Amino acid sequence: MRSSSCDRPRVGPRRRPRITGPWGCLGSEVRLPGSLIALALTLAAPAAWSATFPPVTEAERGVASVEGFPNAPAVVLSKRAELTLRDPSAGESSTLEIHTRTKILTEAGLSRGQVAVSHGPGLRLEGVEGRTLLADGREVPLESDSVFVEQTSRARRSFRTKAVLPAVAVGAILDVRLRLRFDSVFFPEPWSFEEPIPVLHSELRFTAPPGMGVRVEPTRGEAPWTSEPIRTGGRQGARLVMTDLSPPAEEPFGLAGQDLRPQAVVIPVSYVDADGFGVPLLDAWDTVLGTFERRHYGPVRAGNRGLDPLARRLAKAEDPAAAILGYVRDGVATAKTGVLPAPGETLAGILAAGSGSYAAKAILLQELLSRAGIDGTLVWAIDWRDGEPDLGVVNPGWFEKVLVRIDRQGIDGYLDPGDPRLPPFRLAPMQEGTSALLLERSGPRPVTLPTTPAVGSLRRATMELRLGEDGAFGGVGRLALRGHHAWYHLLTHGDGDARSGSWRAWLSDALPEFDVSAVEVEESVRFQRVDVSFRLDQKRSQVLGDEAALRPSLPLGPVRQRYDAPTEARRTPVRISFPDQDEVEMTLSWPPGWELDAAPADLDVRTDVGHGVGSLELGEGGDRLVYRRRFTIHRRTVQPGEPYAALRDLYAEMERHDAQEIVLIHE
Amino acid sequence: MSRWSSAAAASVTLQRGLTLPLGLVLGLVLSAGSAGAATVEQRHIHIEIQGDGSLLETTRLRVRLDTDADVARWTTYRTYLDDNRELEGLEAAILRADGRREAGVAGRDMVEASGSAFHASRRFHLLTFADLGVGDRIVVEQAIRHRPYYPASRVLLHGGEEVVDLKVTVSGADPTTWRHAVSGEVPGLEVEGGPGGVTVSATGLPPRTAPPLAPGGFDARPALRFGWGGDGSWDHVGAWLLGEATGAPKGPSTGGTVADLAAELTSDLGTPRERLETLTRFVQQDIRYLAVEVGEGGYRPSPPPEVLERRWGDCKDKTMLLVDLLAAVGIEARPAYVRSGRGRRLDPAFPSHDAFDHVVVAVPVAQLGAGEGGLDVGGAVADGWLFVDPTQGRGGAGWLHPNVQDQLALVAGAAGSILIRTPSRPHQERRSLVVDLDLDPGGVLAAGDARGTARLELTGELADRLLAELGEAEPSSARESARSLLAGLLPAATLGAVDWFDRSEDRPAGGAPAVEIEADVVIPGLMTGGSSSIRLPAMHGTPDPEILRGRGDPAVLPTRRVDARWRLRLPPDSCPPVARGAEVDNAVGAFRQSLAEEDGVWVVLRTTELRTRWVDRGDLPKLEALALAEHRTQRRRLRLRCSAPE
Repeated sequence: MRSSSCDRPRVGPRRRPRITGPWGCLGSEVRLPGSLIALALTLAAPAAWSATFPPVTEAERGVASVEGFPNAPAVVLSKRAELTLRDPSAGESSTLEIHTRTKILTEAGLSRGQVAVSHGPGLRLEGVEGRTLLADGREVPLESDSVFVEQTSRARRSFRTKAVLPAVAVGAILDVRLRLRFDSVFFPEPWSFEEPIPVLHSELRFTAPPGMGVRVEPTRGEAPWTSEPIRTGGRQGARLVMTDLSPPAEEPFGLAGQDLRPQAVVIPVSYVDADGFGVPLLDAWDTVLGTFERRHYGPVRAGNRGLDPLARRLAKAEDPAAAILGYVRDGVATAKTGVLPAPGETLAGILAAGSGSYAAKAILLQELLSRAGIDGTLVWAIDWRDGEPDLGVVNPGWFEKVLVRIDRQGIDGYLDPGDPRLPPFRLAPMQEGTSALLLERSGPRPVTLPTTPAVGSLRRATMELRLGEDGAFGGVGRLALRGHHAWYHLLTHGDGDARSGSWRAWLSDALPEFDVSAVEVEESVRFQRVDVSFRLDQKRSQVLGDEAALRPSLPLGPVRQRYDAPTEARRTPVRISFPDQDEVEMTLSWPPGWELDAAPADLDVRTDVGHGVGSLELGEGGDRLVYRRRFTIHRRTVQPGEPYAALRDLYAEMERHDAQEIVLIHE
Repeated sequence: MSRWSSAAAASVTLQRGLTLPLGLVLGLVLSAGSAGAATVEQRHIHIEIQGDGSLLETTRLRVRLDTDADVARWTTYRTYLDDNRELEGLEAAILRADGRREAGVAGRDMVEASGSAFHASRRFHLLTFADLGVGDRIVVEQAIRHRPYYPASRVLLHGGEEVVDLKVTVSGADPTTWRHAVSGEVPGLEVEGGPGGVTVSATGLPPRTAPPLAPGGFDARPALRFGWGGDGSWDHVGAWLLGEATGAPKGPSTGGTVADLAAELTSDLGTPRERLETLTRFVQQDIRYLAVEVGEGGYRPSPPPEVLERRWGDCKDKTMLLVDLLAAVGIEARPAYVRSGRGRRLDPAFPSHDAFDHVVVAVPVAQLGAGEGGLDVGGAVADGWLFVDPTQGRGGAGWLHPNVQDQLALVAGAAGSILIRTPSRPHQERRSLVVDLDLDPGGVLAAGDARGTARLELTGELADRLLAELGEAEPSSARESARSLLAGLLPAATLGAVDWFDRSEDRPAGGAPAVEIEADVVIPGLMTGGSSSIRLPAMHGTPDPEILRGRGDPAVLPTRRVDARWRLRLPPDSCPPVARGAEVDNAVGAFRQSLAEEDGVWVVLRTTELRTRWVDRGDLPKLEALALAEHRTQRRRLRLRCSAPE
């Protein structure tokens, strides 16, 4: 994968680790990185819990390689999780036990011998055991002095526990078992059967107490696992099994990993309380919304002292919706993402503190709009980088932030209360085109959020250059960013000299053959625009005196082929951050004695995924030319096969075109 | 050895599995951000050396926030702490732009962060200021108790911001053992020494910005170093380090027979060189690199039998194990302490434990069957010592990672320690491109396009990193990685099937790792301008000459050799190419381009060699001349002319 500074910006990769671990807790959305939990362990095992490992089979001992994966550094022989849901009415905690058995196949696999897991008040690590079984039959246990607990935040009481398995060598089998405990089942996290290395056997067993209704669903599509019911001691559940799993296809510019293969999510639907009444849990979005309003959003709304005068003041603005959004977005810092308010949050409280969760800010926005006579609806929105699950599966844990929808002359308009770079009715690219849930009074309703077309996210460079008598190029340029391209840069370069300096650095990177000076920047969140003007002088080291060459696609090119994999090798869709368009117009003139020696051939490539156009117009006097180039990508998602081939070919044509220089020589 | 993995507040990953921290630097709380940012109106630090050898460090800091970026950077104030560095007091306030003083600070937290180590006793106290704005000032007063293992320390004097009022005082030391030194250039700095202490002060220090290729970390920044014990010699430092290495084990040995293993591994090997190679490879490959530093464990290695049993360890663990294994077969090697990293170097004038962040093995060449004028033992040899790094994943004893090349190493011994400069070995750090092209492939291609083969050969560090990536990847994705690498050197080229090969065993560059990548290639538009010129893609070995123009700061570079050989078969009716010859050869390196005809094939050969890792001011003009020659020559097209130009 190649890239250059002038490549289009991407929103990603996602900073937050993907959710695949155990189950979070009501009141604190706990998220565990799946790759860690998968092999995770930690903490010296307390006396209350002590696991023994099942015997190693001859078949497991005999594994020396994995068919289809000759370079696999290690293989997971088995990955078994047991989820025991407890009766919430009895105040009992649920548990998750995970046992992973891994065999080291090559020296590169030795790094599988250390593991780590994050935990905290909402997800407590109760115990860990581990051992190394050497090829000669010796067993070396994980000792407590090889387990390290780090407090990642004293304030949040969060920890990371790490352990180093002993005597790890090629041919060794590593057993790791851990036990976690949690109190709430309201934010079920998906379970991943896979690992970054091949997995021969992967299973999830879950059981629920009598009276609790549970169902298991894939995050999207059809369930790929085999399932058999479990009934034991009045508890019921199921055993899900998958075998011979290849590592997830992590291809460049791909979908979120969890979109590539479904994960299992165990949904607690209902339970019977101590009085014998059935209590719905995650049986339907209606229930979830009701619970949220009652337990979380309602208390936030209730603490609304001081809201009325504020609303009256903001409602006097020429555009009350914009004024209210601006106040909430910029006047109250965003302290936490997700759909849950922070414990104890109220509207009055966040106004006083000047800081609030995304959810509480959305409620504040909704309440202020309401007092100004504007009806707003809360919207739960996802971030596509975390995957786009099927909203038919009821799970509030899917969502990343809370927006507010208002009616905009008969059209849905969305307000983001937490992103200071977004004006009214604009969404961040991570939300555009994704599924969202409208929390309407009549009941929750799935919707697809609107998108911005390619021409709405524009980068346009206008350059006026002249070749001097000494053979050096010089001139001025302007760069205009609109839409998502502006969003990407707005408020991120500081202000004043710092902003100019930052853009100078950006331009110097994009125009490596030039000294960049006189940089001036104007930006506007309201209009989603950034305008940069600058002066260019060719670097002394680039000046030859009798020959001058220029790549005319600068500063938005040259395009490099980013889709290196041949069409037949690409297995998963390409996910493009957002459709966009690049435009370059360069005017170049030169003095007598110089003549044009070479120039790019015209280009006109049009495909279903985008198009590229390049043309050169020579002035009548033979001492001036105008070069124009446009490169547009229409799609967000490009499927493997022909669409991918079209995208790859488009980039190849652009790369070939951009590699050609304008050459002037002095005879 | 600044506790080679723990006491650092900043660290750098040098190679896969080898992560080396920087040293403990008092006053680190001063952000080392970009220049031109916040204004440090006052920075007063007083360090009182206590009778028990501990330090009481009090700091008063007042910072004016001039931009939004300042606000973002100073909203959270971090204080580095560890097992030997405790926060005894901290008070903070905000002086609002309108003159109000607010003592409230939104939040405090303590986070443990191992950084690049797997685990370390390292933590940060975080102080979060509420609702800062441009024009506000933050005021911090704090006291820290520090109990250093070795009687020496240092204070960073100038991190980057403009400093209006700087004053650093150290006092309380025994005058007979007190020593201090100021490194780095700070105009206007006043240093007033006294018995058992020193005062360093300055007013109006301008902001500092590190230019590209500047030395990294604290080595690039002015610092006050001081010591209050020992005799201030490298012998003393070496003895202390060796004492840590051979002192009481930090944990119980769980068995393991180092001597038995050495005998077993070398039983059928005849020469000491063979035994060295085998034992080095064992420690490099079978003992996985993992840094765990808790307290003094940041300095003290685990007992070799324990390391052998558990099969993991950090640089000092692996070094002492290899030293013991070699001793068991009659080779008396020593630990050699180094400051690792291309942008770092040790100051030989101020002996201190925190000069080092890494340790390797030094083997007397004489014990390998080669004396003066004797056999070439292969590998990184200087002053009769062969330097071997057991933390490397590849290369055995024949290759020393460039981060450890051209560095002063303290070869520690019971009878004394000596500083030796490790050798520079650019010939082992090679990137070589060979492209064989036909510009008349029978009318299949467009005019000006060329078809042929391309082969990229990498040795040394680049090959090591690539092999680590390719070795773990499945064949198809490994080929794609190799394709991407080759394609990056040939813009717009279309590559056919790409193959890659591990050539390390062929030893094309001594023992250095070696990789070869090759593919069929079509390069569009190689010949342009109506067949009047050819533009060959550039492959630079030198930095952009512009960053060297008028430069005063030293530049640090990878020592390496870069060469490209273009073999061009021109159309029969073409005029011959004309290229200006170019040749620069000076103390820093060399560049040469040549053009020759060999059996009807035109061969353009470009070779660049950088021999010096650290280019001081005096040699910068030589580096600039070299870079200008290389960049300009490679920018120029090959002209095709049927007659000599007038």
